[in-house]
This record gives sequence, C-alpha cells and structure tokens, in this order.
Amino acid sequence: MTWESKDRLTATERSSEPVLDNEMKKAIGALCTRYPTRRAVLLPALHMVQDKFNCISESAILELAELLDIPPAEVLSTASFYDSYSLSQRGKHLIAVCQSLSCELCGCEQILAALQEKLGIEPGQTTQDGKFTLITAQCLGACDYAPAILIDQTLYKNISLERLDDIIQEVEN
Amino acid sequence: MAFEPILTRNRNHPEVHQLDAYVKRGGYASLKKAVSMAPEEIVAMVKASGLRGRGGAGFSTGIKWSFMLKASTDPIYMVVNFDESEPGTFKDRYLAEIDPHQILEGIIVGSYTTRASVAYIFIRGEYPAQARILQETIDQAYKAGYLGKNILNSGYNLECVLHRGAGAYICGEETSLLEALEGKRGWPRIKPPFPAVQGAFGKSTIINNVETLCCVPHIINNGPEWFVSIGTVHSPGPKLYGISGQVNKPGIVELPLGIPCRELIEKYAGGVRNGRRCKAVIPGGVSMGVLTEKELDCALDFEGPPQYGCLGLGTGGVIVMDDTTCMVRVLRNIVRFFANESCGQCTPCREGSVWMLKILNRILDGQGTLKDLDLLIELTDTQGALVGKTICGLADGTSWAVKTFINKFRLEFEAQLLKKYMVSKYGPHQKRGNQSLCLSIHGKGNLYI
Amino acid sequence: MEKVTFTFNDHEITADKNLNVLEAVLQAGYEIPHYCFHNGLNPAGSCRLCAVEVGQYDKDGRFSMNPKLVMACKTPVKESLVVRSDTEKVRRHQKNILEFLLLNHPLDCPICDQAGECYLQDYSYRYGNPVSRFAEKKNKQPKKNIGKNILLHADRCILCTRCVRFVEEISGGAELAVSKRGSGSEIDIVPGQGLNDKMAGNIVDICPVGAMLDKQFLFKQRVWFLKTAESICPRCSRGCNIYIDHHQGVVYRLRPRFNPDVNDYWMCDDGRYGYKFIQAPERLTHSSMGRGETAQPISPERAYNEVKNRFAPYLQVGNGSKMAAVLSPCATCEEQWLLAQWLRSSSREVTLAMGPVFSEKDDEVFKGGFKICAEKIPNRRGAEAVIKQSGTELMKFKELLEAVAQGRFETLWIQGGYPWLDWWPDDSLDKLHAVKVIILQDILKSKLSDRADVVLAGAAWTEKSGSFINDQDQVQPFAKAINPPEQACSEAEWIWRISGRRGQFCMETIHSEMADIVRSPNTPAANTMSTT
Repeated sequence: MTWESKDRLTATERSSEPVLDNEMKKAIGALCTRYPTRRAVLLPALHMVQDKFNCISESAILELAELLDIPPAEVLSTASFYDSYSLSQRGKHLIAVCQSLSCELCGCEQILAALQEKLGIEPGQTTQDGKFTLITAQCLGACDYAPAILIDQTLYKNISLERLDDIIQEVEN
Repeated sequence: MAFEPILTRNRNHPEVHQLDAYVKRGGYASLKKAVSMAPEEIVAMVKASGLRGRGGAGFSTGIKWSFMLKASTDPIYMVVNFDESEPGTFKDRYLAEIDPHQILEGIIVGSYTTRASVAYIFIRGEYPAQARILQETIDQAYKAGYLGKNILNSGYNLECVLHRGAGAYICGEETSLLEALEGKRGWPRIKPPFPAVQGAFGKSTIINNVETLCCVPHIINNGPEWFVSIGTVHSPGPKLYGISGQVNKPGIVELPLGIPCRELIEKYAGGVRNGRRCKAVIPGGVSMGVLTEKELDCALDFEGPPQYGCLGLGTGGVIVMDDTTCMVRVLRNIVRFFANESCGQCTPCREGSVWMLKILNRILDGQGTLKDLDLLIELTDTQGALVGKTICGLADGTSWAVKTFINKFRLEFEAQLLKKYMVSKYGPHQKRGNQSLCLSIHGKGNLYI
Repeated sequence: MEKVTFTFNDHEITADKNLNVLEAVLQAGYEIPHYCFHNGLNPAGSCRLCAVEVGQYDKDGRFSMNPKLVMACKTPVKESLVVRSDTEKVRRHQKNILEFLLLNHPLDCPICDQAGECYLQDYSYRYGNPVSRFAEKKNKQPKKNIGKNILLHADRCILCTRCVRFVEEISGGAELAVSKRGSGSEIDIVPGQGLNDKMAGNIVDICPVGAMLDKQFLFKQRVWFLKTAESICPRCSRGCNIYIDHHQGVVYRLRPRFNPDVNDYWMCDDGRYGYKFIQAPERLTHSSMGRGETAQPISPERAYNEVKNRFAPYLQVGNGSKMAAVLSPCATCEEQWLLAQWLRSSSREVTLAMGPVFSEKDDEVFKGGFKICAEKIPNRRGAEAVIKQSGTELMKFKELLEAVAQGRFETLWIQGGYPWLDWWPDDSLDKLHAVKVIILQDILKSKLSDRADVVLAGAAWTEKSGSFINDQDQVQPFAKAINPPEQACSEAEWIWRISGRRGQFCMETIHSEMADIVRSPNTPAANTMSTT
C-alpha cells in the first residue's frame, strides 16, 4: 500500500468534444486586448470555465494551455492555487460558509453544522444529486453581516438557523 | 468642531451610482483640477497631506508616488489593490457599494499623477456583486469621456480594466497581486526589485489601496492643510473603521484617525452585545495582534497599537470579543486562517503556520502541555519578513497574532490546559449554550469550571 | 569582468561583480547551506536556508550590520561587504529551517536512494537540531509515476522548486509545476503530459533529497559503496563530461560532471542510460579464431601470434596496398593513433578508412542551450586528427565498401567498439567474400564477428582510459572505471603488443608521441561549485 504510486502518466478520460466552444474562445480572445500578455487572460478564462462547468477539467487545462500559449503544467499550477477554481467536479450550487473570526464569534459553526446535517455532506463534498457543494470560505468581507454565507454569486447576510431551510429552497428554485 | 464624513458623504445617496448624479454632488471636480496640474505638483500636495496607505502597511503615499516620478518604462501601470481579504476588513467593499465613482475618480487622478496608461483594478473573487457595480461604473466613465482617450480634453489617455481575483488572501500582498494579475500562481516576489522599478509585466507599477485612492480627490479639492487638520500629527486624515464581532451595531464608521478604541466600541458600535463586557479587541485585522480590555484606551492611529505590542493599525478592521469568548479558540481560528492562506513558497511560513495550527488543535482537544505554549512563542520568532526570515508579511501576521494572544492571555491558555485535563479526568461539566465553558480569570477573578 | 573583494566569516574573497554572495562563497570553497539555489538555474530565494547577516560601511566610513537576515542567493556582491554566517542569529535560523523541513518529511532514510548523498541528511547533521519536537500527525503526499524514468515521492519533497525551474529554463518542456497551496503544495504534472524528454534524468541529480528518483537506479545500490571515475560520454560527439559510478566491476549509473565549455551541469538521457550495452549478453569476453560455426575461443597469447603471422606478409613492402584498416570513430584517440601509426610506419601503402559515422539529421538544442549532437559517435575528429598527423587521406566508409566489393583488399583490420550489434551494414557482409583475412576488434558478438577470421575481444569505454575529441575540437581525457570482462582488453593494449613494442603498455609514452594531437587537454573550469 505504501508503495503504490499514483499514475500520472496516463491521461484520464478526455471529452471527445472540445470543452471551450467557439463562443468562449471568442470571449477569451476579446480579453486578450486588455492585457499585454496572453498569460494574463488565464485568470478570467478560468473563471469563465469554472462558472460554466463548475469544474476545471483536464481537457479544459489542455485547451486553455493551447489557446493562451502557456505550458499545460502552468495552467494546472495556477488553477490549483486559488480557491475559486476546482479541479474536481462541483455541484450546481456552491455554498461557501465563512469561518473567519467575526463569523465564528457570531456563531458560524452552528450554521455549518446545520448545513452539514441538512445536506448530509462534509465541507468539500457534493450532495449525491449533484445539486450542492459545501465549502468553508476564509473571510468573505461581510463581517458586519456575520454570520454570512455566499451561495454562487449571492451573499446571504445575518444567517440564522431558522432561515437556512428557506434559503436552500430559494436557491433550488 | 464636529467631524463631517468625507469618504462616506454619499452613503445616503444611492443615486451617485449614476455618473451625472455623482458629478452633481461634486464628483470628478478633482479630476478636472488635476489634469491642469503637473504630476509633480500633485505629488507635492499628497506628500504635504501626510496621507498614509490604508491597505495595512501605512507607508506614505506621497513618497510612494514620488518614486514613480522617476519611472521611465513604457507603459507605466496603476494597479488598484481591491483584494480585501484580511478578516475583519470590509471597508473597501463598503466604498464600492456606496460610492463607486469616488474610487474611480481616485484611480484616474492617481494614474494621471504617476503617468500610468493602464489601470488594473484587482478585485477579489468573493466580491461578485461589487465587481458588477465597478464594471458598470467603468463603463459609464468611458461613455462620459472620463476614461479612454483624451480625458476631459487634456490629452491624457487611460484604459481601465477590472480583473477578478480567484480567492487567495496572499494576493493582497502587492507582488503576489502582480503575479495573479499576470496569470500565475500568487507567489510573492522577492524585493528588490520593487514594483516601482519592475512591477506588472516587467514595467514600473504603482499599487495603491482603494481607500487610499479615495482620499486623493478630497486632498486635491480641499488642500493638504485641510487633510492634516483631521486626525493626529503622524496619522492625518479620515479613516473607515470596520467594527464587527460581538457588538450591537457592526458596520462601517468614518472618523478622524486616532479615536480611542473604547470610544469607538461604546459610542459608535453600540457597545458589546447582550450587555456583556469586552474582553479583547483586535485593532486592525487579525494580522495585527490583540488588545486586552485594559488596553482599550489605545488610540486607533498608526502609532497607537504598536505602543501596546501590536503590529500596527493595519486596515482598521476592529473585531470585538466579549467575556464569553475563549481566546484559545479565537487564536486557533486566526492560525487556521493563516495556515490555509499561506502560499507555500518559503519554508518557515509553509511549515510553521501548520505546525502552530496542529499544536492549537491538540491543545483544544485536551492533549496540550505547558511546553506547547513555549514552543508556540518560540515558533513566532522563526517567522516574519520584518526580520528577513520569510519573503512576505503573511508570516508576520501569524507571528504577531500568536505572540500577542499567548502573552496577553497566558493565564487563560494555561487554564485551558488545566481545564481540559480536569475535564478529561473528571468528566465534562455544564455548558453554556453551544459554547463550551471557558475559564475566565479576568475582571473579578472568577475562576469557574 | 570587474572584481570586488568582500569578507565572509573573516575570510577575504575576491569575485566577479555579477555574482551573488552564495555563488561567490561556494566558488571560494566555503559552505553556506542551501537548497533552492543551483548554479545552473536562476535563484529563487524560497528555501530561506542560505540566510546570512550582512554589514557594510556607509559613505562616512561607519560600519553597521543589517539587523535583518538576507538570503545570500539574492544578495549581489559588493565591495567591502561583510558577510557572516557564524552568528547566533544565523545558526538559530538554520536550525529552525531544517526543523521545519523535517516536520513532514518521512523517516525513509533506510529505504531512500538518496541516503549517503542527501543534503537533508548532511545539513541536518551539520546545522540542524538533533531531536525533533514535532508531536503531530505528518502530512502525507502521494508517490507518483511522472515519467518514463522518473518516480516522484512527493512526501519527501522539500519544495525547493529546482525541478520546476529546470524544466522551465533548461529543458524547456515545462512539464512540472507546483500544484495547490500552502503546506499541501506538491510537485505535479498534467496527467498524460509526462516528463519524457531527453533531459529528464537531470532532475534526479538536482533534487537535493530523495523525492525525484531514477527508476533505473531505484534500490540498485547504496551510494557509499560506489566508486567514481571521471569520464566522457560516448553516445554523441558532444562529449559531455560525466562521472561513472561503479562497484565491484559493475557500472551502476552515470552522472554529469560540470564543464562550462561543454555540457554545463547536464547530460542527456541517451547518454545517461546508454551504457547498458557494456553489460549486454552479446558481450565478447574471449578472443576467437575461425569463421561462423568453426569459431574457437583462443588465449590472448595465441591471438597475438595468429594476428602477427597473418598480418606480417601484408606489412612487407609492396603488399601494403592490399591492406586496409578501418579506424573506429568510437575508439579513443590513442587507439586510433596507435593503429594508424603502426600500419603506416610499416607500409605507406596501407589504406586507412573511417568506420561508419552514424548521424541524425539535426542537432537537438534545448532551451537553456544544452545540445545533443546529431553525430552519435564520440570521436570522428580524433580519427581525422590522427590521419592528418600521419600525412595521408582517410577513406570514407562508403568508398571502402566499394573498394572491398571490387576486391581491392585482401586483408582488413577493423576497429569496432560501437554500442550496437549491427553497425556494419548487413547488406555489405557478403561483399567481404574477396577478403582473405579479417581481423576484428570489437565488443559485441555480431554477424561481422561471425565472418571475421580473428576476433579480438575489446574493452568498452568504461574499461579503458583515453581521450575523445568532441565537436568543438576539445580533447577530453577520461579515466578507466572498471576492468574489461574476462579476457577482453583494450584495443590499445592489443595493438601495443601486436605491433611488437617492448615493455608494459604505457599511456604516457603514447601521449608523448601523440603530443601534437593531444597538446591541449581540456581542463574543466572551476569545479568547486555546487554540483548537487
């Protein structure tokens, strides 16, 4: 067991269709005029891919590398560094519970525990039906509305345990 | 003389999100004035005003801009640090929500002064709503001729690009921000060379915080003497204090620099909530350290907190903790933040912060010993850019937080070890609410298990 | 280049102005422990181990030490700089860094290939803490298969990023990158984009710990048993300087040797793994007489006599034109010269030909400037230089084959020593029917050795000393590492005896005779640099 090596030499299954469709490629190309290097477009391009697919797949990494003329390993390096990008598939909705100091002082741990129970998953996991992924976030900058959670692009402020059901309902619809 | 808010003067006027309404309320007047002045004049004004960076380091903005006067690369870049990730800090978010054109005005004036031809606004990924607001603001400015070619017929050209970050606290460090802007992983660079010489894409770059840039239009409109008249001698000007934690009225309040911490909490934040007593206050974001209840007369300007052993004022994000709060858990929360956000480039921060976290976890699990507290203090000596041991200042934040918490609340940490030992020996005792009981030796010296 | 003088721990050092403190100190022969710095790569300054205290004189002549530690690899040298690494602050910092690096490092020394040449072991011993204070659970990274020849044990990795900078700056493939953030950072590749280029093996050399492992050397031998010989790689005409690591007559691995004029700190995988032919099952261990089925092994004594007798008639005046000798571009200069000199001095009509020169179309040049030559044999220029000395023309191999087919030669002396079995083209074997006597010196049994009348078992390049002349006309001597198998012996020794020279085989005598050719042996530049 200790001597098992992870095989990184074999490519995992690649999609037969290209991940970046023409529309995305055009949008990424349009961004290139804003920066002096193609490399600088990588962060916005990764945002686009993450927003559309909730994941940065290996195929996406290779396609972005080719499109922006960067070595694929560098795309992997950048994508794996930041919290916004996920190399594994995330659910349709991302629930980020802030666990920084102000939110913890105002009871975020209970919120997190309640969400874990409701959804039946640990932070970092996705529900069976692929609807929700739960993660912990580091300071969302909403300390005056503590405890706060960020679901996709919407910030939910002053969360209380009672509101959780309604919020999840709202997000699902 | 009662203090009139300046940076937040438009907070009750949501219509200023539209450019015309903003101009009606005096907006962009400083830009019109600035483009008729020479950059050297503006730098002299900012220097005379004593404006210090509001991003956490408190470096003189005038001196920073004067370095840029010698810059000669083509182009020169202005990069706006909107990567506000320090826990307890939300002032820049607030500024974007109430008065986005003010930010843009500061950016354009700053770019003109430093002869930048492109301004990149690096906004953190966790602010999607604020990013939308800013993009809308930029589009309006382009339409009205405040951005783009020949701004206000002055011959000055400026392009402005909004660049979204992707969730990393380290990107708030200026060289890490430049790396993220260039599309790489956010590993800070070693200085020298400094960004003013070799910054974004290898060119001279000026990097400023949002709040700092917001002060600039007002210095130009009202003159440096007016700015100096607000605040204290070494820390002039207004400051946005963000109060959060266990207070009745968390939020932003704009005050002259130098307000005593106690006054800020009691007068402007409505005091500690639930009628409890204040136990500890973090004066400016978790990197700065902690003040005890006895130290609350500390003036919240750049000179005040260092007199009480803290690193500095930082971002002015004040976090208040009441007497039901366990300091060990608070410290664990802070160290967990730093361990998570450490970029991993240099050895002390990468390994040291996680080691400290593991020790604190173990203490909270009841397996701690007194030696662990000494070890934690010793580890703080191994970290820090101020002593040259790490590349950037994230390690200084970890170091100062751990140092101040353990030194100032030593008895509580020791009692925590004892309590956990007692609990593990004699069984758990009553809990209050969902928070496990805390030994508090402050105040009247109650020691309840 | 302008030089500056500064002091390091009270020693005065003079160095080029463009160096950093660490380079200058290492060049002068002192030690500052370091990991992420490597002389062949751009400095990173991330391991934080090379911290020193510096002090300087200001313009009024007042001296002060800088209160902050600085990294020696990121500090340029300056006139009158005072550098100290023996202060309490620096020592404590070094101890801390080594303690940090060992926090998550697995206790693998008993099973780790790097033991014995591991910089974590060495620096911990010299600068670290004797006891660990870490009482928590270690972070465990996975082991990964990342290349044809490379295994990565990411749990041993100390994130010095030398490998990442190497693939970015020197080999240009950029297959490796640091993935994730903080304490969970690991070196990784994009699955399917493995480390398969020809410079991959250098990664194992530059890794200071046992994270990057060579699959071909894995668990083969403990490094403290290995003896080292300084040699030259024979797999192309570049002549990269190498070390041969061997033990008890077996070669275990090749490593590059620093030479700023030829190969810097690197060698390619063709050379690194290209020594296996010396251990091939087809290796000739005994000389033999007779063609094909009738071949019989013979003793060296018998071999000398056979060859002398069969050759003698052709070396007499008048018969020399019926004899040709094929000089091998894989043979050393000394061997080529000995053969040519002996034959030509016996009869000036002997034809000297060059053996087949195998060459690809183009040189392969990597990003950092490292070149793999198109010519896949090491010493064509040696043969050419030798022939020039002899004042005659060297016949090309193709011409030789034609001449042989026309029946011009009755006897052939063929020098082999190629690393392949089929170096003599198969389709020209039957053209040899007119040749009465073929003396072959070779190392591998092949169709040609079946056809030859007398086969003299030769020595591979690891089993003899000599010199090669590389593509930049540099004469590069190399040393013997191991003994040839059983009764094989080097071509030079064969020729020395057969040509009737008296006394023991002596390289100095040969060199003094060859002086013009080997007049300026290549001397490597300052070799006190960090060669990890």
